[in-house]
Amino acid sequence: MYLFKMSNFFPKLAELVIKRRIFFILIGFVIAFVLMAGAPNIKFDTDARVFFDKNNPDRIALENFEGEYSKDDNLAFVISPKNGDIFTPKNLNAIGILTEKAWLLPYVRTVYSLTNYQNSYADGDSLIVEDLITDIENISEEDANYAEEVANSRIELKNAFINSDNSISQVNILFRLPGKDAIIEIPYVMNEVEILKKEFESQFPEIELRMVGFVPLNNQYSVSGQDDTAKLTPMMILVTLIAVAIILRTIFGVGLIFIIIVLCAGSSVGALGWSGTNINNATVVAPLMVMTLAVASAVHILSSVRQTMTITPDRNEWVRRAIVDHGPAITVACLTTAIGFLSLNFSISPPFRQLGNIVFVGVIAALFYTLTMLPALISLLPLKKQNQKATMDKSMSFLAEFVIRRKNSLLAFTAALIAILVFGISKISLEDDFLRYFGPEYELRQSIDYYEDNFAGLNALEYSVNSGKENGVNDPEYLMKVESLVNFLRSQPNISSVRSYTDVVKRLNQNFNEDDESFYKVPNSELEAAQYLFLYELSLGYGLDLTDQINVDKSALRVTANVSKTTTKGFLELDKKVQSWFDENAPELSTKSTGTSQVFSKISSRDVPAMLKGTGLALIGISFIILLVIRNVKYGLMSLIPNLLPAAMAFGLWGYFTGSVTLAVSIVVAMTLGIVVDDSVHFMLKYAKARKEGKSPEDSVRQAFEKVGMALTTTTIGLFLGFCVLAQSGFAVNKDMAQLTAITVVFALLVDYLLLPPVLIWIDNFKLKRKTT
Amino acid sequence: MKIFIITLTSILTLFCSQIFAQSAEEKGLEIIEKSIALDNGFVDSTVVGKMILKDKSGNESVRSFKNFIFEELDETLGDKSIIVFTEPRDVKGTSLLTHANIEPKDDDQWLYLPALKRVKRISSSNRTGKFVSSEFSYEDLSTDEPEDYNFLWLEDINCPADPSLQCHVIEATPKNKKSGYSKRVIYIDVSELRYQTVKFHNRRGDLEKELNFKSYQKYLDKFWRADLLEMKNLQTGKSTNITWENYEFQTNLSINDFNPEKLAKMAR
Repeated sequence: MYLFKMSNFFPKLAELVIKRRIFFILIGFVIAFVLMAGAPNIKFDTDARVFFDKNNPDRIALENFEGEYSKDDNLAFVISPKNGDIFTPKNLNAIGILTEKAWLLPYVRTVYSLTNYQNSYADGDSLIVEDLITDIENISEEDANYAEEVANSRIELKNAFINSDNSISQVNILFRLPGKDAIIEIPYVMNEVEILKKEFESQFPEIELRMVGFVPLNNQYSVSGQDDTAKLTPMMILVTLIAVAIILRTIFGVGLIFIIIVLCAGSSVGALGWSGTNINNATVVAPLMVMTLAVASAVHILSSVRQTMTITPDRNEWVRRAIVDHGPAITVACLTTAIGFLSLNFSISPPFRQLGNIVFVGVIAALFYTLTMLPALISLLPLKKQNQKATMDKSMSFLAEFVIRRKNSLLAFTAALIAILVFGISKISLEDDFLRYFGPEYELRQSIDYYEDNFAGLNALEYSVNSGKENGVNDPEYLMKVESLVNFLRSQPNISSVRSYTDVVKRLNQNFNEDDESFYKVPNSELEAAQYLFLYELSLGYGLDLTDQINVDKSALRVTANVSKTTTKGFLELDKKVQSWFDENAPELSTKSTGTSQVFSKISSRDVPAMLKGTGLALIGISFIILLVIRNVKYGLMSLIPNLLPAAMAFGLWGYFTGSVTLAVSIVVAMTLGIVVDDSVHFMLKYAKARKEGKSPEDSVRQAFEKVGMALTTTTIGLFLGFCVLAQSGFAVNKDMAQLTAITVVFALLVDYLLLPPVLIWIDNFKLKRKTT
Repeated sequence: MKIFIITLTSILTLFCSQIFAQSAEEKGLEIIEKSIALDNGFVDSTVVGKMILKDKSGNESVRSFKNFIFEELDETLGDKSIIVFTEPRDVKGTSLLTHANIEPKDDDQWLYLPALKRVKRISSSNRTGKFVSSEFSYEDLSTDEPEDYNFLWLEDINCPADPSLQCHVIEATPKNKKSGYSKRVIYIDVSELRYQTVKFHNRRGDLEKELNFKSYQKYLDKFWRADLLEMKNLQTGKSTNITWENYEFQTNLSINDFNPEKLAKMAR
């Protein structure tokens, strides 16, 4: 019934397109331009947190934590004097100058550095709290030596403001961004930072200056997104068009494809613009994906035309045949792809949802343009008639014979290969190091690697240790427990430094007791601790306070542990260790870890189950469409093999060769499902049709290869190349996604060519045999 | 004729603005000096202060203290003061004695911690730091010493906090590089020369805080005191209000009461 209707619809559509070709060309352009008018509204997001949904429980916990203490929108200048010694008067002077100038940057909340470290000590009967370097303009050798001695004896400075061999220091600037429009604020700050950096570098050429921190990182999100657009778009267009030109051997066809892909990509981006959503690092590749997918549809029409033109010179007949023969398959292919991308809405990460929706719009646009505007253009414009069969057609019949002849060994071989590949999935580990989402070609990434190699860790485990009562942070018993937590953290090999108020109160106790080292411990009484805290707060310098260490009602202390050079797995294991420390030593203080690193480390493991649900639904939806089209439960179920296996194989291969994968992992199956399904649907349709006509399974395979082999190969090459281009992205999530997709589409073709036909022949022959016996 | 008038007006305007430019600094300094001079002769005073710190989301914390001030008649020295904290409870009795000095010399300060029953001299080079975590810094709480600033009279307008009054607007630029501010804009009412509003510009030059003096009362028929100081940080949304109660003047405090050795006794 359905097929009957469809077989009626496409001839009608073909006639309509031929009759009203001018109308379809115009309406195509009008729709595209209306959509594209939304594109100028698009802005680039400058926030790593776009990946976290507002409802992400880890994000909520992080924001609560930041509400209680502070949001670390920071930028750290990493200072590496070429003479390898921080403690020379000149280098200290440079740090002091940088510290003072940093105060003049916009939205600065606090600047922490070696020179403004609040050094407390006893001097006779006096208690002094002052900057480590009190007068940066007049630093003597003795001052420098004294600073070196102090800095190396303070656990809160070592590996935080000087590295292990005193060759690197940092000035850490904390910003209070108004948060009204990060898209303006962050580049505004970075602009002034760059000016300051240049100024410093020309004033102190003998000091290397690098930048790390959340502000440059967030800025990188927009920078590398724009880089990706600028780099990948022309590459994508060029690669696609060259591939199409080689395969189809028609320059004119290339021109037509160009028009179609630009309109499709433009429509999808325009739709994003109209929806008022900002573009980000993940969605920036969406229009490029749309291009690739649109090519796959358009190629079917063009290759059909290419085949028909060897038979008849009637232009309208080319178009008619293309629409009638390929319309159903293209429609099915686009719909399944659209469903696959629509299922990305199940992701917990907003950029993936947006990606899914943009591509959805693009694919629907592609369906519309390829079935109306493209044939209309073909029938109107002077496409040169060619008489030679494309070489691909010949090789297809060769391939068909090979597959039929070797069906048994192929079956065994591919089954074994698949088993081996799929086993590789067990080797995959989720790895979301958001500091390293950006490739090593970026300066920021180089600085981050330099910092972690030579200085300290940038990923941080954050804990808010709550005493359970107001002003409880002064309770000696509580303080001692926090102190032993801090000691436990410091004993972990991966932890480079720990920041906690307990160090301050211990030092004050010592200072107040004439710097007697035996008093470097938590004070004996609550009143003492409270009054030390009060004294310290009275004595702090410009812009400094303890609000980012102690919460407002003084019931909780913050403990920050910087973790260096670790994997997501290692990071989470470290947190587990801390949790069991709490269970054993202070269950009443037990608290979950938080921090940006923590939210990222959990995001993949949260998104995978969410996307499993989405992928499952997509699978059901897509299978339903296949069933409707093939109208045969047996073939429908069999089509699941070539649709599900390729992604599993790709993950397996990935497991063997790369091992770790980013957040991209969760969306790849759903994404590729809709794409690879096209191949099998085309193949199955032709096979089923031949079988219905009474042909043997072998002959049906031959016919399927002959009819769609070329188109499938062409689209797969096109998709493979397209996703290879996307894999050039400087952003790890895109890179992983594109590489996995590229591998998947190739595996899909292999499965469709080498596994599916032997399976079909085997099953159908088995049935035939049973019937005859 | 027309041309003549225009020329004359231009010349006059030019001439007047020249006078303006010359006298703007002097006028600023004069107003500030007059305002300070009005306060001379109060001898000593005691007052109970209550500081309410509010963060952006409305969380409050309170600091209460008693303030003793002894007027220093020697022009080369600043006033002497003691702050005895009574709230929060765990710092009750903690006292801060300050002997103000004229810049660039740092003030002398001593602190008494009752938990240790000891007086410690403390360094006070950090005048720009926050006072007990409030939005006030030491710098904000001390009286202006004319020598420490360059003053510039800008204009006379309606007072921003109380438009029924006329205010002199004076810009004060600190001579000390270590100040936390690039400048302050001071609004002093024309009639009584009382500070009405101060706008603080941070080191970068951006407006950071605004302080309003409210509910002025006259004591001993001569000395104006605001009962309420409202400080608002425009960048963080935090605010600190100080209310002053029970002003007493000429209470027979002696200079000896402001001796570090006496601090423990004063703290009780």
